[in-house]
Amino acid sequence: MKTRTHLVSATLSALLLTGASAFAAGTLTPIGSVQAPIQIRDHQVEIVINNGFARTEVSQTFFNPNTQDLEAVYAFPVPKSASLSEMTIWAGERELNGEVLPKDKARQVYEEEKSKGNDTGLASKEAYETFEFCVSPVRAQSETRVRFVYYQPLQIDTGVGRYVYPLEDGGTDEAATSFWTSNPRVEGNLSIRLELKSAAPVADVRVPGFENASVVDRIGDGHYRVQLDRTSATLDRDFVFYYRLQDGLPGRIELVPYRAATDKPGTFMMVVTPGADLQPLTQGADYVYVLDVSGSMQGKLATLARGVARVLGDMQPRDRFRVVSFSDHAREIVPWTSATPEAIQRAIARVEDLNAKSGTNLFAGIAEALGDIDADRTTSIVLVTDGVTNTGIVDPKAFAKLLRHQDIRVFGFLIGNNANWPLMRVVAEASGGFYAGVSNADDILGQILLAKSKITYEAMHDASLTISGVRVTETTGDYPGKLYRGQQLVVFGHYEKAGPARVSLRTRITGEEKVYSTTFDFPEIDTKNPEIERLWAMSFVEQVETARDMGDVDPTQGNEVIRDIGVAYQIVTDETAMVVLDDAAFAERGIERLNQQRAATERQAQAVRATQPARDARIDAQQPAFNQPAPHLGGGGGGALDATTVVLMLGALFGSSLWMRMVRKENRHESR
Amino acid sequence: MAPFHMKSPASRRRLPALTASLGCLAVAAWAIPGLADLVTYSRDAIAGGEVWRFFSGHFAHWTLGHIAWDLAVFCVLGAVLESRSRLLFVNVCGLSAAAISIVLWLAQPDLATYRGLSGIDSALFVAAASVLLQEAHLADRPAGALGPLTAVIGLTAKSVYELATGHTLFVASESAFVPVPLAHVTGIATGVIVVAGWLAWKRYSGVRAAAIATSPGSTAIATSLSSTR
Repeated sequence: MKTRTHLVSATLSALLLTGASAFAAGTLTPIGSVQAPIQIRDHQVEIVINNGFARTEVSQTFFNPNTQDLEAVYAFPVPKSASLSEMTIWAGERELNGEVLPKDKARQVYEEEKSKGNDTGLASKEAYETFEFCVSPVRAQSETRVRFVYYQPLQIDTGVGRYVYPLEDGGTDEAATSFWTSNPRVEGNLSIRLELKSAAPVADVRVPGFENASVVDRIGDGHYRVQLDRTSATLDRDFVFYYRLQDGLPGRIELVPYRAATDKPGTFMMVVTPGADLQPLTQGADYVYVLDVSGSMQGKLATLARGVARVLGDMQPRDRFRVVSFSDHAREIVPWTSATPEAIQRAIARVEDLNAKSGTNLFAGIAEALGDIDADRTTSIVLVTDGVTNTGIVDPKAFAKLLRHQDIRVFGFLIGNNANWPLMRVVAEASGGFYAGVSNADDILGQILLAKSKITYEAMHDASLTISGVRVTETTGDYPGKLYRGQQLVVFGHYEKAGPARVSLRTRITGEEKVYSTTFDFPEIDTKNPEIERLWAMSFVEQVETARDMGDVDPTQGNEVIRDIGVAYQIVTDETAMVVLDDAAFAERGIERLNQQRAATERQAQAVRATQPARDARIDAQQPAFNQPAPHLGGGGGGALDATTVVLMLGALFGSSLWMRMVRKENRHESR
Repeated sequence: MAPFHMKSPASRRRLPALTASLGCLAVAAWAIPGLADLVTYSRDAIAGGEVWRFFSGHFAHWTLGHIAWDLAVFCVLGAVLESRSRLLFVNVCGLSAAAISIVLWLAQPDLATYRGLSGIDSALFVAAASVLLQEAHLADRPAGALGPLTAVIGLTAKSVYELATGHTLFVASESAFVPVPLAHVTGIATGVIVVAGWLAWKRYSGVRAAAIATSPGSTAIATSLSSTR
């Protein structure tokens, strides 16, 4: 049997609960500045989750308490796969909107307008860490209102969907923290409104950490509204929303297309939720836990230990485990040990004794983990880290080279919002593993269950999706290699013309070739979801970035492609930025209003969708591609009684009992 | 002869020691780090030979809210039943624990782990309701049966609805685990079977004792039998 190495992360949960962030989302003021910080008067967030993606609109009002006009700089952690698409500034009665240009050009235009004292703004992306919004001027003793919008695809994992509105800084950008102080406080009202419209029935929703503060309304089977209002709050805690689909839903294939005209190609998002018979792994396996104990993990190690305890406790004596820690260098803290209860308890004690210090040498951690693998056993690596790798080898190409030809899988968990997504993406791609982010306010137990459900079951190997009958181009995400239990496969692409097509998922399960397929039609015209174009663009950009980081694409060429895509589809990337001007300034500079047109189309479609129920996008209902239900989070089942049932049960019984006592008393009295 | 051992004032006041002990086991599984993982119903572990988890899994819980409600009901119903008949209490707990685990093993192979007392609570509820039904019958007050009967029907209907639809009837709330209505349905069914068997056994014992009492030379035997009830 082919031996593999898998790495599993248990410490994930431990790390999340007690994060100590340097600062949160908020206005930035240079350290040592004599000016009073710009205030955030209110912060409103509107989120709509529909058709497999989320639209987030953030509105803020800034107030300048100083006696002179200032520039406001607002930093916000980059949400995963977010395509920042709109920025609007209200200066008095005027509404100024943004257009995306190449980054240098956008910055140049912004600086020129700022120096003239004109109302202007700039939205840019600082690598994977923050979106930065600059607004100038915020008039003295006055308010300025700013709005921005971004889109993200949302995947369902083992029947659970997860949305994160990231506010908490991971505290890993040391250069930033040495330069800026942040004001994350909202002087007035913080409100978050979320609407979920799911065509699949939703069994339950949860907002961990805000259960008491939020109001959840169930409008229908897959339709929920969540409302959270706080006054004088601080933007230092992520808002995480979970929704769990009803159990027993079928494996399925869904298609969300967009095509505005017959003379142009259409864009599509295809979501495959496999329902395949993946069996639990019954043979013993090896697990290497690779734990980040760098300085930024201070305060998280106690929960790290609890997370380790939780996952180690689920291992069997036929399994083996090893624990490696790393900061500026790596060391083994628990050698290969059979997972007996006594060994597990000893390991937990060792992890509890860890101290956080120094830098982050991720390469050394992984190399140490790979250094002592038994080729005859299946091995998994679980990597938990909260920060950028800033010590030792940091080049993503080196990581790819280290992992590519190893028969292992890395399961990576990134704690906090400033973790190095691009690098973890490379690590996961090179090893055929997966990675997940966990918010500092996240549901640790749920994430662990989701991870274990993947690691302890068979996977679909050499998975590839092909579409025939209609020519499709520029597809993204269609060659995942391995599909784990509960994972969805999300593919974006363009299609040239309408008509019947066939989609096939080819894979191997326990060595046996399997093909799951169905036929469907690409539509001639479908204008319900224009946002799919921006989502395709972001997905394509991420694919180019990964290929560039792994050394498969020339960096200069890769950056050019990213810039061209960013401008064509009006999304903020590492190579593009959005500059906000008034209409006259755009006209004067000859800047085409591409984003204005695109945003208008999107808002029109959103207004129509708002009045309609969630649309069922399934394309294989008549000819199901899968004959098994999609996996759900059945790993942890619980026999549970809720408060209402308890009160009714006991109330009925004791009511009767009391009544019978009275009857007996009455009987005794009569008999005297 | 009454099917339930009814109940001298002394026996009615029997302390629910077993209920208390099992409750402490649940608390220990919650409070002691690592213990919950050793006792949880885990498909892999059971397949590996750790069969005690068939019984012990019910005493582990996922969250504080989970253990709070399950344990509260267990203690109350357990005390009610054990004070009347410890043997019945043991039968209900033991047989429902085994039945629930076996049914989950066979019918829900994708359920990798399971925790919670609510399945046993459902069985205890049926048994406790049966006790009250019996008392109402003996007191010739059929109205007294309304409460327990309604409660049993209501719980059964709720559990069957949840099993059939996959929705929980009241807000459930945990993303940490999936509710398992099959455990409740199995608990109720086991409770009904155990109580029916108990009643039948008691009736048989009563008939046999009466038969012995009326046969020649049976006085000593009858005395011995009645002193053990």
